[in-house]
Amino acid sequence: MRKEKMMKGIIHIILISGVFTMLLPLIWMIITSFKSNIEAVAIPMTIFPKKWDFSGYIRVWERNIIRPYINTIIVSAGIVICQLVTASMAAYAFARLDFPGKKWLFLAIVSMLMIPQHMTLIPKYRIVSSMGLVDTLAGVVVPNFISISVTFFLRQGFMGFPDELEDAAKIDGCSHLKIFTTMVIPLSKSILTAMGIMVLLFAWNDLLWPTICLNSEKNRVLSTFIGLCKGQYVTDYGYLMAASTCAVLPMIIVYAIFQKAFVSSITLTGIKG
Amino acid sequence: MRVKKISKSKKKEACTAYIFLLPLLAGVVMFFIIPIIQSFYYSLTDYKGIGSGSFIGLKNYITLFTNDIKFMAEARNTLVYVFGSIPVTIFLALLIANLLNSSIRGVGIYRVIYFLPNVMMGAVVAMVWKWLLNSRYGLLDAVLDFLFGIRPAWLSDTSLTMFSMCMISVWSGLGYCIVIILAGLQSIGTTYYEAAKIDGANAFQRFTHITFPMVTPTIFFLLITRIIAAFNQFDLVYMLGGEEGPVQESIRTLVFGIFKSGFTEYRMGYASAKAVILFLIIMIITFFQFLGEKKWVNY
Amino acid sequence: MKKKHFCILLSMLMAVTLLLGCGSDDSNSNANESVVETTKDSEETKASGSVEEKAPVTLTMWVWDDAQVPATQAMIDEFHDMYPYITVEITSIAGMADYNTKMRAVVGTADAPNVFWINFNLAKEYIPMGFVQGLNEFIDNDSGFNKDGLNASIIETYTVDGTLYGVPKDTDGFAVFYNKSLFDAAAVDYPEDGWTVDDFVETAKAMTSEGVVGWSNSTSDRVYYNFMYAYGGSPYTEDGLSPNVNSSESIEGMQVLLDMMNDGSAYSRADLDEMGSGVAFESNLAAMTIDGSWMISEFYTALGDNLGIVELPEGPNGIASTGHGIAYATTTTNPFMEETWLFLSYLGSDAAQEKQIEVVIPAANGCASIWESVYPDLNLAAFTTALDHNKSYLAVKNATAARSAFQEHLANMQSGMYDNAREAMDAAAQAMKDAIDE
Repeated sequence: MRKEKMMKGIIHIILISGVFTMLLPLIWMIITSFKSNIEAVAIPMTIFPKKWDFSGYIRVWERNIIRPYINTIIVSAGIVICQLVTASMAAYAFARLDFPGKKWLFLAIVSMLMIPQHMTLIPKYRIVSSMGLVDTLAGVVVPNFISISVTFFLRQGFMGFPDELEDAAKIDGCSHLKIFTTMVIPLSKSILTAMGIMVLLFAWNDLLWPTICLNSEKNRVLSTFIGLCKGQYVTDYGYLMAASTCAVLPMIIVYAIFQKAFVSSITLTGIKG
Repeated sequence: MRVKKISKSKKKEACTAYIFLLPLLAGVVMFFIIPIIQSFYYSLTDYKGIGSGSFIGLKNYITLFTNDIKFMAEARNTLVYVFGSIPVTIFLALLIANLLNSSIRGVGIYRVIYFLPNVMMGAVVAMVWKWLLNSRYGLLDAVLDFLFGIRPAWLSDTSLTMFSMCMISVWSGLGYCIVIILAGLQSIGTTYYEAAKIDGANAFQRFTHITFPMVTPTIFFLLITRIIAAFNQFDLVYMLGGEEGPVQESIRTLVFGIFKSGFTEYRMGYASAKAVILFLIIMIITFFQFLGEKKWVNY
Repeated sequence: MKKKHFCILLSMLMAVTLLLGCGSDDSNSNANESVVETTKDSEETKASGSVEEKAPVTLTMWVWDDAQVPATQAMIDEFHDMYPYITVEITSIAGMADYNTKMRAVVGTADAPNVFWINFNLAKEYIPMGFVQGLNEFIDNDSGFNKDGLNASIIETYTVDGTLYGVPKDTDGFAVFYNKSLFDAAAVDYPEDGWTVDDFVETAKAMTSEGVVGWSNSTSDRVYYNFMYAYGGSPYTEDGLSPNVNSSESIEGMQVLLDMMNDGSAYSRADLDEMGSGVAFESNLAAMTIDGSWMISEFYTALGDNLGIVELPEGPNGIASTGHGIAYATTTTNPFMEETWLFLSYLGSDAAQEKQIEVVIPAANGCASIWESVYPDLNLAAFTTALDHNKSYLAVKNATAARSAFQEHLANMQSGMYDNAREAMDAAAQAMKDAIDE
C-alpha cells in the first residue's frame, strides 16, 4: 500500500513540474486578450494588464464571430466524418486484407505525406474550381476528404488486432464489409476517438486552404477570421488574443470530454482506477 | 508444369480491398500525385508562378548543388532540427503518456493540461516564446540570472537559436504525441499485466517487457509522421527568424528555402527543384524506416 | 449494429447536405440575372445615354488590410449611390503571402478579382506577367478622371513603357518620430525641421543612456535607402538595371548609420531581433525612431502628447524619402471592364480618396491638407515634405529578388559581420547584380 502511494506521489511530482510550461501560453493568451494593443507588446512584458481593456472582445463581437463559428463547426464535422470513414476503410484493406502490391502501395501512399502544403494549393484550387465549389464550405472540405496519416495510424491499430479475429466470422460466411462494420470498428473506439480529435483540431485551425478557397465574409471560418488581425502595417493584438481565446475554448472542452474515451481505466501498474 | 491457381476467395478479397481503398486512392491521385507531377515539371523550367515558364532542363538542379550555399546550409539545418527534436519529443511523450495513463487523482486534468500547447495557434505560441526567451526581459533568463548569473540570448545568439527552435518544437509536439501514444496504450490487454504481476515483475520490468513492445506500432507511426512533419517545418522558422538575417540563416530549413524562392523571389521553377530534392530525401529516410519495420515493430 | 450503420450514413448525408446548402456561389454568376430598369441619378454624368436598361453587376475587390475595410466600404457605398446597378464586394485577405498565392491561383480564371490592390513589389512581378490591364485607353476617354491630381511619383512607378497600370490609392513617407518626455528628462532640445544628419547623429548620442537608446535603428531597407539618397547615392542606377549601393556616396550614408550602431547610440541587429524598433519606441526605450506615416496612429496611441514628429535629417544632397503607394488595378480578362473602369475612376477622385485619411495618406494631392488635420497636434507637415522628396527604390527587373539580396546583407551588416560599410555594400551589390541578371 505504501509503495503504491509513493508511486502515485512521484507521478504527481513529475507531472506537476511540467504543468507550468504547458499552461503558460494559454494563460498568457487569455490575459493578454484583456490588454490594449500597445501593452500587449510592450517591453518589459507585463503579466497582468495594467489596465483591463475589453476592446479586443468588442472588436471581435463587432466583426460578428458567430458566423465563422458555425461555418467552422460545419466544415470540421464534414472533414472529420469524411476522413474517419475513408481512412478506416483504407486502413482495413491495408491491415486485414491481402492483395497484390499491398506493401508498395502503402509505402507509396505514405510517401505522399512529404509534399509541402504550399505545393498542393494551386492544383487543389483548380480541381475545386472546376467543381464550382470556390468560395463554398464544401470546397473547403473536398480536398480534405482523405487523410494519409489517419489511414496510417488506423492501419497500425488494426494490425494489432489478433489474427484470429475474422476467422470465426469468415467461417460463418460474413462479408468483409460486415466484419469491418460489426467487429473492427467497435473494437477501435479509442483509436478512432483519438484520431477524430486530431482531425478536428486540424480542421478547426487550418488556415492556408480556407484562405485560398474562400472569399466572402459570410463564408469565413475561425482561422481566417482570426487572421484578419494582421493588417498591412500593424497587427491588432487585442483582437488576435480575444479571437484566439474564443476559438480555442470549444476545442479544449471537446478534448476534456472525449479524452476519457481513449484512455482505459487500467493503469500501467495494474491497479484498477 | 506449374499451374498458378488463384483461389476465388483470394480474388474476392483483393477486389474488396480495392473497393475499400477507392476513396483514398481517388483523393491521393487528385491532391497529391498531380501536384508532384506538376512540381517535377516546373522544376525543369524557369516558371515564375504565373503564366508559363520556358524549359531549361536540369539547370535548376545544377545551380542547387554547385552554386547555392544556402541550400546546403538549409539541408544541414533541417537534418539537425529533425534529429534534434523528434527523438526527444517521442521519448518524453512516451514517458508522460505512461504517467497520464495511471489512475492518480486528477489525471484527467493533467491530460488536458498537457494537451493545451497543441490547441494553440502557431502565431500565439511564437509570441509567448519570444517573450519567455527574451534575453533582457524574458522570464527564463530572469530565473537563470538569479540562479546562475547568466543571460543566454536564446533568440539572437546564432549558436543557440537552433537549440531554442528544437526546444519549442519539442514542447509543442508533445501534446499530439501523447494523445497518440495514450490511444496506442489501449491495445495492451490487462491479461499481460496481470500475468506479469503474478510473476513478480516490477513496474520498470512491466514497462520494458510489455508496454514498450506493444506500443511499437504507435511509435513507428509517430517516428515516420513526425519526421516528415519536421522536414516541413516552416512556421517556427518564419516567426523566430523573420525573412532574413543571421538568425534566420541559423535555423533556416529546406521548406523555408522553398517558400522564399517560390513565393518571395518568384522563382517557382527553382523552388520546385528544391521541393523535389526535399521529397527525395524524405522518401529515402522513410524507405529505410520501413525496411526496419519488421525488426523492431510488433503487431 | 444496423442502427449504428444507419446513424453514420444519416449523419454523413446531413453533413453533405449542409455543406452544399451553405456557403455561396461565385458572386459573378449573379450578373446575368433579370434585367432591371434603373433611372439614372440626375447628378451623374459619366454613363453614356440617359435612361438605359442595365443588368445588375457585382464586382469583386481584393484587399489585404482589414483595418481599411471600413474606409473602403464607405467608398463603395458612395459609388453604389452613383451607380445603383453596380455592387462591389470586398474580399479581405490577411497578409501579402496569402494574397499572392490566392492571386496566383485565380489568374486567368473566372474567379479573378475585378479590382485588386497592387503595390510596388507586386507590380514589378505582375505587370511583366501580362495580366494587369493597361488603363491609358480608359483614361483618355474619361474626361472626369484627373490623372494629374494624383501623386506623380506613384503614377510614375505604376507606369511601364508609357502605360499606366493602376490608379494610385495612397502614398507614404518617412519621418523621424521622437519621444518628448525622454528628451525632457535628458534636457536635450527637440529636433527641428531642417536639421542635418550630423545633428541627428549627435542627438542620438546625447540621448543614449542607461536603458535608453538614441535611435532604435531599423530592419527596413527603405530607411537606409533614404540616407543613401541624402548623401547623393542611390540603391540603383537611373535606369534601374544595376545596383548602386556601393557607390562612394551610398557607402558614406550607410557608414554613418553603421557608426551609430557601433558606438551604441543605435540598436544592433540582435537587439532588433529581440525587440523590434517600433515596440522599443513605444515602450520608451528608444528616444527616436525612423518610420513611415502608417505608424502615426499606433505611435500616437502609445505616446499621446509625448509624440513628436520631425522631418528626416538633411544630408549633403538634401532629404529623400523612399515613398511607396498602393494602387487599384484590374485584370486583362475582366468581363466587366466598363463597370470596373467607372469604379476605378471614382476611386481616383478626391471624394473617394478622402474617405481613407484616418488610415493612410491619400494619393490624391487635393487631400493632403485634409489629411494633416487628422492629428492637429502633430507635425504632419513633416510627411508632406517627405512626399515632395519621393524617391524610388526598386530595380526594374527581378525587383523582389534584388531587394531580398540587399536586405540580407543589411541584416548581416547590422550583425557586425563586416568591418565597414564598404565591405557590406560591395557584397550586397554583387548579390543584387546576380539577382537582377538572372
